[in-house]
Amino acid sequence: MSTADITAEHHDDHHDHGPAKGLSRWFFTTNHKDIGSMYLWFSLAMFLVGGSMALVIRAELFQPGLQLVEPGFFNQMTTMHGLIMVFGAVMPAFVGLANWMVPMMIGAPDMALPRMNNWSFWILPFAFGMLLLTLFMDGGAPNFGWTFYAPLSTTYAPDSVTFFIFAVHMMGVSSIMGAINIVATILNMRAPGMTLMKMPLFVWTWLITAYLLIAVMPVLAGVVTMMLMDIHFGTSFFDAAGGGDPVLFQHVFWFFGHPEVYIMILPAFGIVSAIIPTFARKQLFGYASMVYATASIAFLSFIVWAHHMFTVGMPLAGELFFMFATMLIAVPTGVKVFNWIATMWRGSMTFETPMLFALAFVILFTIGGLSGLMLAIAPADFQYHDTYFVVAHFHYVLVPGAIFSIMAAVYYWLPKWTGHQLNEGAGKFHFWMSFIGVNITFFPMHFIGLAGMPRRIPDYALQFADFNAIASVGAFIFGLSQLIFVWNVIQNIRSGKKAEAKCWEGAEGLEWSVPSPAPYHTFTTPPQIEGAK
Amino acid sequence: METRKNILRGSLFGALTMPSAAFAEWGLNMPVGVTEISRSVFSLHMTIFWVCVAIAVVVFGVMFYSMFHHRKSRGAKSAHFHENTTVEVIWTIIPVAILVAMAVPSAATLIEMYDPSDAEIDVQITGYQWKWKYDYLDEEVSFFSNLSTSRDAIYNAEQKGENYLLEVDKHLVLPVDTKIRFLLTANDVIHSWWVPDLAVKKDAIPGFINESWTIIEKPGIYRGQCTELCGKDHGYMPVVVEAVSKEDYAAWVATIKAEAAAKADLAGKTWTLDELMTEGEQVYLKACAACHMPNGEGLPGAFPALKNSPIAVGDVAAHIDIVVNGKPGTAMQAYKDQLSAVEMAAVITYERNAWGNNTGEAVTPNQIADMSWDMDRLMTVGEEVYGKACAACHQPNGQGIPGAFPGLVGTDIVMGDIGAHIDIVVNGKAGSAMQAFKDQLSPEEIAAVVTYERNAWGNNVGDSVKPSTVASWNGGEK
Amino acid sequence: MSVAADTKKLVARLVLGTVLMFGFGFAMVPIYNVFCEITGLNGKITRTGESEQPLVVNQDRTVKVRFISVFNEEMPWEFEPMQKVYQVNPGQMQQTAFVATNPTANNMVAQAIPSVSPSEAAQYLQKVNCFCFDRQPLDAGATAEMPMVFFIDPEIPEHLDSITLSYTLFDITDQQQVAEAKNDNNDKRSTL
Repeated sequence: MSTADITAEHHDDHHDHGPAKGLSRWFFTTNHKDIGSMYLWFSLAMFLVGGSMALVIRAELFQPGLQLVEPGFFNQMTTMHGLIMVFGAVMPAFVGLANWMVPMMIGAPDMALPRMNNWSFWILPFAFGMLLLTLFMDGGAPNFGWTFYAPLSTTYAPDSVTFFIFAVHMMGVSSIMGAINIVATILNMRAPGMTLMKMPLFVWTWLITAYLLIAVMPVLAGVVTMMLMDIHFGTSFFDAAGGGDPVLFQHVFWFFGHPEVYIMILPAFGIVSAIIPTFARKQLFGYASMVYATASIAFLSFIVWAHHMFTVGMPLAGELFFMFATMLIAVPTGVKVFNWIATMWRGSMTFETPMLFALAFVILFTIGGLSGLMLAIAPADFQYHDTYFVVAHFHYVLVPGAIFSIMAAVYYWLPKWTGHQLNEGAGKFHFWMSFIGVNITFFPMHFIGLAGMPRRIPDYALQFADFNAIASVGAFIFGLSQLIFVWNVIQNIRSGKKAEAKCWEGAEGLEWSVPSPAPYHTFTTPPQIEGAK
Repeated sequence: METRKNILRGSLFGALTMPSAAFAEWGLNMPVGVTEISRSVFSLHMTIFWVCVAIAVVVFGVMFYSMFHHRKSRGAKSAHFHENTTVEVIWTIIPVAILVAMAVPSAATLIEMYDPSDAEIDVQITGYQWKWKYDYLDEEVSFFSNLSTSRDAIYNAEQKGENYLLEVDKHLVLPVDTKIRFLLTANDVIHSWWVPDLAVKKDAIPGFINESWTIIEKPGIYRGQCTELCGKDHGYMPVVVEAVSKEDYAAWVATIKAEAAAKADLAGKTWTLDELMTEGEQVYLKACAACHMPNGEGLPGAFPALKNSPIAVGDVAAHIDIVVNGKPGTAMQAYKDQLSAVEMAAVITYERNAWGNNTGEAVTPNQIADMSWDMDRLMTVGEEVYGKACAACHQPNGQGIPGAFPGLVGTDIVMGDIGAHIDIVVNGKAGSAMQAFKDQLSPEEIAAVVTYERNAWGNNVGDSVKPSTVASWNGGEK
Repeated sequence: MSVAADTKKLVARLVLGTVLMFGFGFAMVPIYNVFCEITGLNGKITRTGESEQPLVVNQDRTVKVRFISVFNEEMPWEFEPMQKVYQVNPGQMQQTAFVATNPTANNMVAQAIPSVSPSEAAQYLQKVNCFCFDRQPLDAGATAEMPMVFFIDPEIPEHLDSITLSYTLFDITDQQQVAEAKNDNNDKRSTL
């Protein structure tokens, strides 16, 4: 839709046709911009659905006692909220951004495999449609947490688990195809002269993310397949009775799960590394070290998985190894934060909406990173593990981390997509409401976690009541303020002042060399690359 | 050893942990706890916390300085540097140094936590959906520990107490200053046993055994919860540890063993007439002979004779009733709270066979026990037990949860053969979530809950179950 | 055109990588088991088989070995170690047994799953013979003594002075029937 009104004004459109008319445009499109838009719309829809579930959770937790929902349904809400936000909101949003921006950033006419691109998107609505429909099944939707530990998710699962498994398979296929496409595009479709070390950092982080996806999504597919076999075909991968081991499930799951966490944050690093230099009007500091830091984080993500499992009773040597390896991640992550600050240092900063989100990202993600460092200390983790402290930690890295970076990206590139300048007033209003809401929601969770409130409980002891009430208020502020975002984006598509090709003064990169809105086909002839990153 | 650890901890960031006491009082922070380990963990926590705060202050300080001074509106012109190997090396090395400094005390504490040697008491902890079972392995004592918060409190129909959701019917009683080893496992799904004040959190995994240990230094009650999502009522399986002095612990063990023995007598042992007569004579001399006289002839005009009396040779139920409940308006007391069921059974048997009464009837302890369980009491207790043990799945209104747990209103099990009903409660149903309750509920409780299910919610079958039936239930027919 | 060819080659490689990683997910199962055997992770123990009793018996110290029995779900059997605690010298062969009774009116099959704590000790607890190597059928009402022979490896470190061996009894009657229906004369001996 964002590109629907641009058919009339092709600039470098010498020989090609515009988008098809009507619905078939969206069903059959192979255009990276169309597919990118669909990914982003889909992600927004899932963000709102998953967010509503979060609000159900927070409403129930507003006061002690059971008021709105039963514990069984509460568990379905926490599970579905996690699954939808991880697989339905954050990942598709990054894939959507990659679809839109990667070809434009490397001077490619489209993705390397456009038809597969269409397919990988259209799998998603079916996967999530199936997942959401389980809410109406007898026995209810999956209720075993987004980490679905066996045997709660096998022997003791509701019938809907089979549909959950198929949904995960479909999401996995979609992600893997998306990742293959991105790797192929980045490695084979760059304009002449666009060497690897000249690529924008967003492209770099996505290249590494895509490799992570290819490495771990099959493992996720493997683990759910094993579950399926345990449930329906009498195998005993995770059933102790037949010689299996429920702890094995956790090892395999987290072998996928930890890199998955970085899949959700590496592209965010890329986005922030694009936005901060633009609004600091200064080149990114330490480009090469940023690339190496990203690569080392990706590597380390494969050898730290068991820090999610410090309490399962690993031998001492295992605990020590995973503790040290996890602490090590702080080093490359620190390098990134220092580089961003050094980029800002002695720059000439302005604070438009994308910059505000990017700066909030740096601050709040760092807070999440520091609480992550605390969690890495295994003896202390025995007290933190599975409490609200963990909930606070991963929401700090995922909401003001991944989600804020996506919003920053949308605000940053929206003029390029729609051809209209941002409504800065609405954007800043959205930012401040989100910033305040997020902190009111998640900061108190540190305290209730330390004071001893376990996660995934529908009701709690009285000493946790005050902070829970505050967190719930914050959640509604944050949730409702996203409506400003939706309104702002729709308004921007419909109307607004004409945006220039390079609508941000300090912006660098090939995407700013094409007009705004970007024509339906860009770089059908490869651009000339100077020394630009 | 001791000093080495203290030096490690103390020298590094000792000063930073000073404000911790103030923090703890606000109830915002991790509890310091009552064990050496929990204090080490707390000090690690505070150390890493202040390290993080320090890092944050420096990093954000620089960032905010830059955001304030290097802005375009203040006329800042952007510089052109974009690389500096020296600073990059510095800000790689400093974090590494901080991490190494943190890793050393962390590893020391972890190693200490992993030393299970020299434990004096072994307690096996088994996680069930949704309760804990504690086995004192050296004492042969075991019991279940259930949430004792009422459903009304949870559903806001009554005031929530101080320990809302953190209270149980039976505490895990442990002695102080004693090394206790916890052996954790689970019956169904993975649970996790956590008591913050002991800094013990360990997963209980079905089919596997885990261990942890503690030495509690201060008597008191320490509360925690299950911390691994284990299904619907994950939020409703608290842990309560009651630490007492070693003497109190020994006394508690003796009491609980005596209780268990009394129960076993009641349920398990078969009493012969001779045994009852021997025991009964003792009891009679102790409790009855003062009024009814050792020869059973009473004191005419004051206390009735038992020899050949209508009570002692007539209807046995009336005899039991008068002993258990007394006779209002007379000197005949109710003995139900003074004598055990065994003692009452023995003394009644004695009275019915001594002094030439010779009815030849033996009264069993179970008969006495059953006496006190009329329909009203069965229903009242049954409702309580139902709320505690059954309502989580079958729901308070007996409707169950479609697709997950069957309803009990008007169904075959509760309306049909009473034997099958007792059997499924006693032995569970293989391949379903229905557990065997024989080790979790007493025969009285099972009798009450079965009776309740058969007569509540309009089922009105009208029959009832006596505890003795349940106690002697042998699973028999399927 | 060379771009298309390159892409084809690259995609083929990436797809191969995907397939390999899918396989790796499954390969983690045996890798994990081997890893557990070596490190004793999770307290899994393997069959020592016919290993000889070591020549040296360390008379200077004893290790406390405690046996516990756990029932999974509604497993109705009675199942108790004959003696709950042994003080054994490392290297000394010790025989013991569990007594199991099937109180139900049905013939049942059980599988006992052993687990050792602390997990570090698993590699030093050597079982020469154990009922847990096989599935245990028991007729309705029957009682059986299930023997096991074990010794503690004299190499056991000093700080391990107490070992717990738990057996969790699982009711596998249904699975056993299914398996028997599938192939009658296949030796279904468990690998545990």
